Amino acid sequence: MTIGRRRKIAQAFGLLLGLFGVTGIGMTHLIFPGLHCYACPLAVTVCPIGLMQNLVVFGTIPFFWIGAIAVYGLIAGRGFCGWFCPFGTLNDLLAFRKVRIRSSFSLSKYVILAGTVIAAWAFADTMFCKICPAASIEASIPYLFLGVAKVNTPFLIHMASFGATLVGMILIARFWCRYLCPMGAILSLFNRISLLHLRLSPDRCTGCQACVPACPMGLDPHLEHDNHNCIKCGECVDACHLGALTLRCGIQKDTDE
Amino acid sequence: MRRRIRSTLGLVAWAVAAVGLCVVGQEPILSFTLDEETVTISQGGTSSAILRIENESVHAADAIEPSLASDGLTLTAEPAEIEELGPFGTAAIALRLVAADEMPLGTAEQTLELLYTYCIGDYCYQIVEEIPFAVTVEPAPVVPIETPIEVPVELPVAAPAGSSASFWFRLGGMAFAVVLFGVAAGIQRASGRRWPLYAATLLLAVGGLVYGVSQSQHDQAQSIGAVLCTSCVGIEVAQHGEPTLSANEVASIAAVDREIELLVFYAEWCHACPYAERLVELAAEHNPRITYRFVDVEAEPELAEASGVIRSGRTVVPAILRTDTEAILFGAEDLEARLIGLLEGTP
Repeated sequence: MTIGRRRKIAQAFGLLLGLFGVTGIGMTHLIFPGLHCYACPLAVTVCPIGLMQNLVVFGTIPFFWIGAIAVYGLIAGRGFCGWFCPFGTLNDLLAFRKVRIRSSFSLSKYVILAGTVIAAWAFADTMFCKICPAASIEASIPYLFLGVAKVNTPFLIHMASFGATLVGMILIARFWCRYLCPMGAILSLFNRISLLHLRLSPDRCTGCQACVPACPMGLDPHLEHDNHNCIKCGECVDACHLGALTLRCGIQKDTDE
Repeated sequence: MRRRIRSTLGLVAWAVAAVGLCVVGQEPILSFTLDEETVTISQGGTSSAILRIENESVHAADAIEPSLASDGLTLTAEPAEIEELGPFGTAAIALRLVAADEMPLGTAEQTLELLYTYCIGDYCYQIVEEIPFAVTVEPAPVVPIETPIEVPVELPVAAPAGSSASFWFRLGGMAFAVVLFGVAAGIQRASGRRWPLYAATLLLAVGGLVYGVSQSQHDQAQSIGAVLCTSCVGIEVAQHGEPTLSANEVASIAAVDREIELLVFYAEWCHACPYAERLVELAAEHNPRITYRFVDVEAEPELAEASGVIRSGRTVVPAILRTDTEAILFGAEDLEARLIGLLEGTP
């Protein structure tokens, strides 16, 4: 079974966890390892970014949040973006143009993360949630049909944000994950120590660059296999016919670099 | 060299952030307004003033107590202390001033002191605010006139979450984490060994989870996720102002000719809830046949569930339930018209 097929199964599990509320079990203590709105009528997990903002507003030092994020980071880092996050899956479905763009632009997601924290502190409100495109499709639209939401200014802001993100995702593969996702920014901090990692065997790599067009994040996998943007999706592994790139689970070694 | 400078700067940033997290706060969160800037009082007489208090933050203020240090003036307050004032809540204290018989005539500056505390997470701060006002003393009239005391409005609030963990314990913990990661990163850079980084991250993960659970932060996370605050996720605009009713709306409310009980469901962090609460209070003021009760969805989850303040497993606040018809309003947008519709609906 190819990595791509395994990943689709894992993404289906991510979606299943995201919508597990259909069983009626209600909200759990679990923090979701990706971007998934806790206001979604079927959510059973807490959105890490929504929770982070609430904790900033409350002034709570977020030990539980830090612990959970560190666990996720240690396990897979941004691997959750590639293998589990439902919003990442939506990005994948629209990943028609795997273009390479100057990588420094991807630092914008850290600006979004900092802005999210500062706005929560300054306005004492979950400001990011009001424009989050994940909340647009997982909360605004469902609640419109449930009779709780109305077509009002906040709803239209959500739709505009989602529409713009959608256009971005169509024009640039994984647009949200590359440039805007604050959860991706947090998980990327763990990318170089996560147990799930991409490994390059330099002796097998001929520099043919077959992996480059396969990467949805616009990276050059044979040169940037431990890049903070790598979502460990394994597309490059499937594309490399020489077996130079592999997805491994274990302690990363400097000799791989 | 460049890498070392960047690492050092990174560590300094972490340390600053850690200290910042511990010392943030200590800003006043309440605003006080006296109805009159100048209080007129006669020698040996009494005078009243209303002190209006508005909480401009998401934190609950506790033990709000006025006092006045003045020769010749004695202050009594009703209530003497407001135990709690919730996020974005308002309240009022009726102040009664009694002047001594021999108090000198003329206008003098006085200072009203307001003492209160509030907590952000696990840290609590005591604030003292001074409100200057003028007192004009007149000769004693033949018949002293007393201004009736207005009954202050208090809003129900939830107590702030907190624990007894010390500032130094937390600061020490953060400093330890910073040093640990600094050492681990240093080892990795010097010898190429990554296991200290893994160990430090594992320690951070386990330590964070264990300590967080011991502080019930997992319950806090669950309760935040379980309640849908309609304004928080951008389903509607948060209403922070004071609700107002037009003459027609007041007439419609006053015309309701049956006993109606309303349950107003709220959550501590819900920004739109105080607006819904105040509007229901206002409606009840215009029609004594309307009674109401505020229900904290966290304190009374069974009632919230039984009342149907649930949409697909999610509790939605603010919600106003009319108990006899079991009709429910969600959110605070356009609430005046919707509340009148709720009240006018026949059982």
